Amino acid sequence: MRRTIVVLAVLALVVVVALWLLTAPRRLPASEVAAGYHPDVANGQAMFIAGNCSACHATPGQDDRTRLGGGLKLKSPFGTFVTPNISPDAKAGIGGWSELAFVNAMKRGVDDEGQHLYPAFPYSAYSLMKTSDVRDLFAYLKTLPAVATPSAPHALKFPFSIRRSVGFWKLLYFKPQEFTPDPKRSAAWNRGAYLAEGPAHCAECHTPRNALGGPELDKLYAGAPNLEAGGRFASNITPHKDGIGDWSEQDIADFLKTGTDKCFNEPTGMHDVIASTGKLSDADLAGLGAYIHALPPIAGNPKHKTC
Amino acid sequence: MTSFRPVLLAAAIGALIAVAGAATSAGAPVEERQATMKQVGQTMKEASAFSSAQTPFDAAKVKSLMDGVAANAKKLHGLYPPGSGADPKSGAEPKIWENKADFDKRLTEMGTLAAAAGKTTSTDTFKPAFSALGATCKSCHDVYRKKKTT
Repeated sequence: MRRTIVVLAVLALVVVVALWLLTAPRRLPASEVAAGYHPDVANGQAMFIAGNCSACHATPGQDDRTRLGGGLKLKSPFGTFVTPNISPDAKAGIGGWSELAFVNAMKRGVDDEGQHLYPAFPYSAYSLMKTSDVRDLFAYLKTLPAVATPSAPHALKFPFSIRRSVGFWKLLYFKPQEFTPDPKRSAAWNRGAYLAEGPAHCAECHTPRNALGGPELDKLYAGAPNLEAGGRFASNITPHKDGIGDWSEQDIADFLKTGTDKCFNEPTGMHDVIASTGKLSDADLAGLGAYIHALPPIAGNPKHKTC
Repeated sequence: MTSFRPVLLAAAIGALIAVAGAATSAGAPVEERQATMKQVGQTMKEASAFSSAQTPFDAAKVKSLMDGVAANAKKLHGLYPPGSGADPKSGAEPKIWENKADFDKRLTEMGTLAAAAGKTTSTDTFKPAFSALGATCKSCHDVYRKKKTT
């Protein structure tokens, strides 16, 4: 009897230790940001535009998309996330962060103190980015105005309120891997694939999620209800008949530039996205058009037929 | 006297239809205008194949599509009765009722441009007429359509 208790206690301890180790935040080594790199600030700005950082991090209620004081509330089923200040303010923002810390936040979902970041910050997508693009982005962010407003804490439900729980989510759904081009496809397609899957994180809204917030990969881009209460349905953007089956590559590029879709509508849910994609270069827009147009067609929710 | 009967009957039926029609548009103007807008969107999408020369020009088809848009523009005039912006499902900006004359003028312009586009006879002449029509969609939505409906 006593022996059984001891064995059980040891087993329990092993499980706890194993779980603790398995859910630990994992960071990239310092060698990821080799010295002597000269960041390309213009490319950093292009990444900033493609990623639409402003949509979540620009302080709500003012028009300047470069004042990244955060404070936008995202009401999700897991509780309310409040976007943090990512302006270059040394105290309130990320002015005190090292380049390595920033790369780890973007590509590994770990903050400057070594803690997990919640995947409401779409690092699953950003992990595909080239480290040089992330370094350029960091250099660009440094040129923006510092905002002194401190970040507000999230108000999440248990167990999501425990940051370590993100470790389980990462075990299940986070497979960080840099983007690898497909040599069989065109350069435009590859550029579009990189932008859509990486910085622009299109799938974050357009792919449905399961109860744990993991993406349903068999429904990639087939449309999804907005996780935010009352938010609009994100359309099926695959070339299926209840998606954008009769759109051309040019129609997709035009829409991302102007916000006016093939039905001469301006979908309100995309309003904040167009504010950013409208500034992309024509080459990047053509790439996104080529990539989205060539997605495998998947049936979505016919009640939410796209244009 | 007997000869009046069919006339009276027809008048009665006509009145009934009119009342029923008025009842639907008065009862659910938000749903009806949204359905009408959606129809306009679908028609515009179909017509865009001709303006981008994806489909060879077909004057009769283009005319019927554009006449459909013009008819819907006319119909839309009656679908914004005062107070119908209060419905939470409505994406209509309250500005519509503050500037009803401007709003109606834009709908009239939409109808005129659609009818004009319907009279074109080639891709080359349809294209600018169609894009002028499309521009009225956007410019009006920019002012009178809510950016977010949550």
